[in-house]
Amino acid sequence: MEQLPKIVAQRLQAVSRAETHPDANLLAAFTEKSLLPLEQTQILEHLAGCAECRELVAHAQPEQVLQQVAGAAAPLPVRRSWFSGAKLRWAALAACVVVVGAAVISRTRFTQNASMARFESAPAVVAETQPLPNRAPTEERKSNTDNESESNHVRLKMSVGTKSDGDEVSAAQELQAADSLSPLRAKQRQTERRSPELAEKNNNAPAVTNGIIMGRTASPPAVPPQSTVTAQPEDAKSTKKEFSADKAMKAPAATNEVAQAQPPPSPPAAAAKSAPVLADRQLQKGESGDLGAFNYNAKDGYLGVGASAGTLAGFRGANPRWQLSAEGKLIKSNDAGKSWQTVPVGDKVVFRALCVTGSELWVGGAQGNLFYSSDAGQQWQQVKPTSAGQTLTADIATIEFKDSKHGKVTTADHQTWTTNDGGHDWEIETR
Amino acid sequence: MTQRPQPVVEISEGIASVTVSLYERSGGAKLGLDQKRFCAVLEEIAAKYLPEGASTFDRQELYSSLKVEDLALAHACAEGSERAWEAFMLRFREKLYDIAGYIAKESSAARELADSLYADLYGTTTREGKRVCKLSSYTGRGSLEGWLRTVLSQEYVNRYRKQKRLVSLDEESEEGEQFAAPEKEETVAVDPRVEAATDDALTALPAEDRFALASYYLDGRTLAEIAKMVGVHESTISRKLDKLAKFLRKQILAGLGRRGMDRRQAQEALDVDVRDLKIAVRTRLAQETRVQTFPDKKAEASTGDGV
Repeated sequence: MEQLPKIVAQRLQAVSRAETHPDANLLAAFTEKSLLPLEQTQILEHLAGCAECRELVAHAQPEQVLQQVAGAAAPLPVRRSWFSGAKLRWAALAACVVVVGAAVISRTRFTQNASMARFESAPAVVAETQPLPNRAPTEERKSNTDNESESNHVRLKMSVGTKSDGDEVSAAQELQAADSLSPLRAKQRQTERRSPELAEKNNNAPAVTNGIIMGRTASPPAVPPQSTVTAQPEDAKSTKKEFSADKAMKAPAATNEVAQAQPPPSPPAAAAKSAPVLADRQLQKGESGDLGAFNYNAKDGYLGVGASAGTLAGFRGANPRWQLSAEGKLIKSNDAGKSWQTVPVGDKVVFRALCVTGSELWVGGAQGNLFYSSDAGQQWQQVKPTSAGQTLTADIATIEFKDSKHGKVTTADHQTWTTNDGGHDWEIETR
Repeated sequence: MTQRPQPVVEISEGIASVTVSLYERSGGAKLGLDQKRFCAVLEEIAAKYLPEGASTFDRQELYSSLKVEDLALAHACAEGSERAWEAFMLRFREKLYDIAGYIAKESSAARELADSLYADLYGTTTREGKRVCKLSSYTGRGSLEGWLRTVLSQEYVNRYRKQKRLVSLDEESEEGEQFAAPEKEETVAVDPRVEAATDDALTALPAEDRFALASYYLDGRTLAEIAKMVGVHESTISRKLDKLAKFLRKQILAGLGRRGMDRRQAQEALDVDVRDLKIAVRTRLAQETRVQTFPDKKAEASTGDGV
């Protein structure tokens, strides 16, 4: 505390010697802070110069009385703990920060691990369970080509743009080694460099890459429109090819063997089903040399069996982004919002609410249409909340899920549907 | 704060309805206080605290700020209502002893203090043939408990001051100071320019700041006590006092500069206080005399031993 000059204390004492004092009523009201502002100032003015009234006011403090009474009951002086007051408050604050920080970190890690596991296992499940829509073969081929083109494009970008410098160098070295072993491949690569579009087309044509794709191209399967699923094994192999071209070139017989073992996938479902099986078989061929490439990718944590290049790109960069378009369609972006693609969920349903928790998605819209995906949008199922004989038919306004179990759906007519078991059972609350 | 002669105020219709509702709220009827007396009390309060010719709005505002339940209880007691006294004793008997215990810091003195206040509250004294009850001076501005606490503090301070003047001769003789004359405070000549500059700086401060300064530096109150009195946090008072001390020093130096002192002179005038020198000399002298007494005693003792 700054030292006050003695002359100030002396003059303070001599400033005012009031003759009249405020009565007990005003002093009591001052103590209780119940005076009008003007009166409060007047009393303060008097107190500043009157030691007697200051003493009265000091004695008349109600809190002090209570403290003293408590002290009289326990005459021993109460020693303040070192862990009290401001220290306790700061310690509590620090503890809160630590707890919140730990929770956020663990939550982030858990979400990453969960989505990693889902991405690794999702395509196989989808290929086995998802019904494939009927489409004309030409349309399917076109869709397949487009999607393969897109996935190859993403794959190319990934191989150059998202790898670390060391990986780029090693990939270039691998390519050079592959070129030296195969003049045909080197020539093709030169052509690709001259004309990127042509190169992309060539990449899209599976016949160029390896024997497996060649076999499949010979009898082109009907590919479902969500070609990211069916193209995944091919993409995986292509990606593998990019990173370990020399090993792949060293073992063409092995891959051709796999291609021959694959049954001709004439029905679309069979084609979809065959893709992960093929990838599985390839993964099991550890002695063929291809497994090295798979292991390399698996070690990096972004390549699971059957994972598509597009999925990989999204996975390595960031999770796919989800939005509702102005027309009420569910759209998805795998390239951090640069391009968006419509996800076909619920025909002609206008969606107005979307909730994404990790890899689980809830999307709802007009007339109580509510859809759920547990695998980052690969597979969708419609949910019809019912409670006490009442079904959700009103327009869904908001969807809020704080975790996979607990969520809330509100409707335009102020109904609130809540679930505590991930959407199996619902409870309705009407405001 | 001066009491004015009570003006006769005609009660307008608006005020009348307010007083009726206040009377109902106060529960005066249950305590044996009639409405007429209650209105008269309100009139007395308005005459005491409002300026002459105050508007109806001011009066309504004042009335609405009153603690009417406590007011009715106090004035019903003053009127001698048994029911009111029962209610009063039930609410405040133990509390008064507790408050007295806090103020007097000693149980017998506290009981004596509380009992004397009870006597005043009950009205054992008479003036002009009428019983004077202290409760009739309660105006309801603060709570009745706060008023009782303040009255008790006032009583204690008055008693303490009276007793302080009366010092037992036995005690004085025990201390070896028979009929000692009170020590005169030496007047120290201070440069009038310093006094004037200090007064200017202090006058410019708001009342609350001067109150805080006086409470801390003159009365020796703790920061917590001052904070409770003003109604702010302890740390706020600490910061305020620190700032005020710096501000005052700066203002006084500036004032001394305006009064013809250069900066060095002003600094010296403020820092080198003659009272500090005096205290140092006094302390030194006291030490020297104490040191002198022991060799004499030792010398006597050694002489005695030698014999």
